[in-house]
Amino acid sequence: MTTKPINLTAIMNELSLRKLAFYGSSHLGNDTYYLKEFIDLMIGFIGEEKVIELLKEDSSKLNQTIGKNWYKKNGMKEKLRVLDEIIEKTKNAYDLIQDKEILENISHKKTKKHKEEIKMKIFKKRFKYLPLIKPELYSLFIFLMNSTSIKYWTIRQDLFKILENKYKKIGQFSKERIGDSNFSQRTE
Amino acid sequence: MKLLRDLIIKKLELYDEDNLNKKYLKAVWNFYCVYNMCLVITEFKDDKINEKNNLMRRLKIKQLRERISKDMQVVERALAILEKTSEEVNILGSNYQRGMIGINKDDD
Repeated sequence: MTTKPINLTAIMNELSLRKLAFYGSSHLGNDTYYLKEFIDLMIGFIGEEKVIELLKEDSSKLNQTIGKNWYKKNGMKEKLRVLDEIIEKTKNAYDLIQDKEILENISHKKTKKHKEEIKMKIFKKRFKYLPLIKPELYSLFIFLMNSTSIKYWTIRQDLFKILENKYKKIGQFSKERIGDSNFSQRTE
Repeated sequence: MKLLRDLIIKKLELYDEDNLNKKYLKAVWNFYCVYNMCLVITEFKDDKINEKNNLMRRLKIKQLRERISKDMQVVERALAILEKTSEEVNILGSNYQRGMIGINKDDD
């Protein structure tokens, strides 16, 4: 990328950094959901035609072919549309694994082992649509990051931790307080 | 690019954490997310993409884990490239340069 990067507005910067942080701290298809959201956000801001133009001018051969075949059958536009449908299915599967309440609603009478089996069966069925290695999608992702001013920014650590602490119970014992020298004095 | 380097390192941290907690499916997924990015950075062509995708579809995690040590070489190479490029970019401009009098070296 030799041309000058496109400047993003402050709100766009914050939004896209959030998407990237969520992408960094999630997994099993849920990350692909945030990756796709970031790509959509960037294409929406830059403009589809401009993105295609920039892709064609890029030094990478892979990006050039993505740009040339954008509107063709099995091109990137079609692939992104298919990915949307896949993500819809896999994200639900991921939620099934994470959210134990959904599992509880499947059946109240069945044993724990049986519930695990049901969960795995649904997960496997939906998960098989999402490929593990997808170089074209990642090439577009890195290209969009590289062509905007977001590449000069860093992601704040607290943004990474939003999803990590999602399932933490309220009122849980704080680990930070163990090493706190004032903790013993406060309790006395 | 520092942003990309941060993302890769975050994903590798998660990979380590999941491996320690014996959550191998998540660990493999996180590693191959990193691998995807590294393939683009290094412009390396992997001939066994379809094979690896099929292994994941059938959830053959053990076989995928065996391939990680070999694929880690691509990650190392990509990180080395990113280290070089992130040094070249000086976002603070010419006012703040390395080795300047009055600048603490620890700030680098």
